[in-house]
Parts: sequence; C-alpha cells; structure tokens
Amino acid sequence: MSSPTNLDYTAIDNLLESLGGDRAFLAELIDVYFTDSANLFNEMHGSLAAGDADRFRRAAHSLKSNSANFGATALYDMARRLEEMGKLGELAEAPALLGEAEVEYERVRPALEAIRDEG
Amino acid sequence: MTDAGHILIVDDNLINRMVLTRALSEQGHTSDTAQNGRAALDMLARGTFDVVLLDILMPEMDGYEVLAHIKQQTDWRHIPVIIISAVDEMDSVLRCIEMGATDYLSKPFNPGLLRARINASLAGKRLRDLELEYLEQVSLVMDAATAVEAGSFELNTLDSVCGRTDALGQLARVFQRMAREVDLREQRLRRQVEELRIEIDQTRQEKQVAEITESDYFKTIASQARSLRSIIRGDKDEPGAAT
Repeated sequence: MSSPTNLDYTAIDNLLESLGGDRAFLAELIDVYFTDSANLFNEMHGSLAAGDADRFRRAAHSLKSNSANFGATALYDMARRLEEMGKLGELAEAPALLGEAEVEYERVRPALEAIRDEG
Repeated sequence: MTDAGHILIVDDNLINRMVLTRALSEQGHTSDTAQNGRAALDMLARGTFDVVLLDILMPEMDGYEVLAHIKQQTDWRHIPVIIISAVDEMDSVLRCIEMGATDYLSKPFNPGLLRARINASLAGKRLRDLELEYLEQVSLVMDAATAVEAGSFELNTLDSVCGRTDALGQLARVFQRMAREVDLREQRLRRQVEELRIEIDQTRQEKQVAEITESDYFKTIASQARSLRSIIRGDKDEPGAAT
C-alpha cells in the first residue's frame, strides 16, 4: 500500500490493538477525527481573529493529540508548535504555521480515508 | 491478574475518551467519562471509582484543579490518579506527581502500558483499601477495650473482626470470649450479692422481731393480753356478765 511518509502506521496499529482489532470502530474514529479537525481549524482561525491565545492553545492541543493518535507525525509537530505559540501568547507567526498545518492535513487525509474504507 | 476496575476518564478530547473507553473495556474494565474538571468532580461525588485518568489542559476546570480537589477530599484522596499527557508535557506531569498523582500515561496510548499502569494502580488501591479496613477493625478492638473498662462493652461489637482469619481475628475472638466470661462471672456475683442481701435483710428482721418479743415489756404486754383473753372468754361463758 502506498502512503505519505508522514503517516506513522505503527500508531495506527497501536490504536487498532487498543480497540481490540475493531476496524469498524477505527473507521468511526477516523470520521470523528475529520470532523474534529475541521472544527479545530475553524476554532484556531476564530481565536486568532479574536486574539484569544488561550482558546487558540486549547484547539491546537486537541489537534496535536488527535494527530498523534492517528500517526500524523508532521501534523502533530505543527500542532505542538502552534500550541506553544498559544501558551506563550506569541501569535504573530501562528497564521503562517496554521496554513502549513492545513496543507499537511490535506496530505494525510487520503491515507486515513483509505484506512477507514478498509474497515 | 488484577480484578476489573471502574475508571473515570477525564478528557475534553472526544477521540481520547472514545479510545480509552474502548481500550479499557477490551481489558475488562468499566468506565465513565467527563469532558471537563467540573463534570469530573460531579461524577466523583455521585459514583465510586477505582482509578481516575486525568487530562491536564481542559476548559472550565483544568487537571491541576481537579487533582487538588481529589487530594483534599477524604473519600477521594486514596483513588489513584494517572495523568494523561503528551510527551512534551513532562513539566506538567511532574507538577501533577508532586501534587499526588500516582502515575502518567503518554499519548498516543500504548495498550500494553495502559494495561500495566491501570493494573498497578488497581493493585495499589486494593492494598490501600485493605490497610484502611484493617486499621478500622484495630480501632474497633481498641474501642472495645475502652468499653470494657467503662463497663459498657457489648459482645456483638466485635463480630465483624471475629470473622477474620488472621491474627487480628484471633485477638478479637479471644477478647470476646474473655469479655463473655467476665460478664458471666459478674452476673453470678451480682446474683450472689442479691441473695446475700435478701438473707441479711431476713436475718435483720428476725433479730428485730426477737428484740421486741423477748423484751420484758413485750412479755408483760403479752401476759396481760392473755389474761384479758381469758377474762373475755370467761365472761362469755357466764350469761349477763358485764363487758
């Protein structure tokens, strides 16, 4: 199976093991990830517009956590850096990095859709 | 192999809650979830949990505040708390451990580590629960000793301790047996004292009667009474006699 190099399939395997091998439940989780990610990106844009660093930090934290669950390592790293910006209240460079994160998300999405559709 | 536990998952992240709920179920445990710290405290107040899995960064009330509340409450402070964290949150984890958290679990969750950490926490809690129960029952035996000295000991207060199969149970059974023997002996003594009192009272009364009836005055009165009875009987025998 071809895949982007920035999706860690070990994390998917660990996740599947935690779920008792239930691929249908994994597929459900991936769909939740897609929905959550869309909401989190919106939340981050909204909080940047409002200058709310704390709200931005929490959204980035969730995106970081979710991305780690599904092995999206590059996206995890970007979300971690966005979270740090929110924690420090230093949001000047956040919009640019947020844009990169959205591009990365669109890169991992097809691989996760493929895994979802296998179930 | 550790028995199943009932676990509270506190995390504002839906995927984390779903994954942990399923993972814990796969490992034989039951769980409830809370989306923030305030909801977690409500659930702790309403239910009984063996372990808490606690995220740190949450809206409304964060993990630090939840942990502080748990450690302040007598009923909750012995519940093991495992911090759920990302690998880059070690400072937060260390702070929580200094506040009394038992362990931590990094995200994403490794199922083997989850099993090991949960089982270790459950084993620790069960040991603590046994210790608390033991201390409670030692306290019962000590209270019983105080009650014996005060004369207010009731035999059935040690029944729960007597059922133990360990040294404390043996002590309680011996104590209860001795207390029962002392109680029976006291009852016998009280009966004997009562019987003696009755005997003494009777003897005293007889002595008092004797003192009166053997006095010269009583004898004189009795003699006069007899004479009068004789006169009366004599007068009745003769018709027309004056009274």
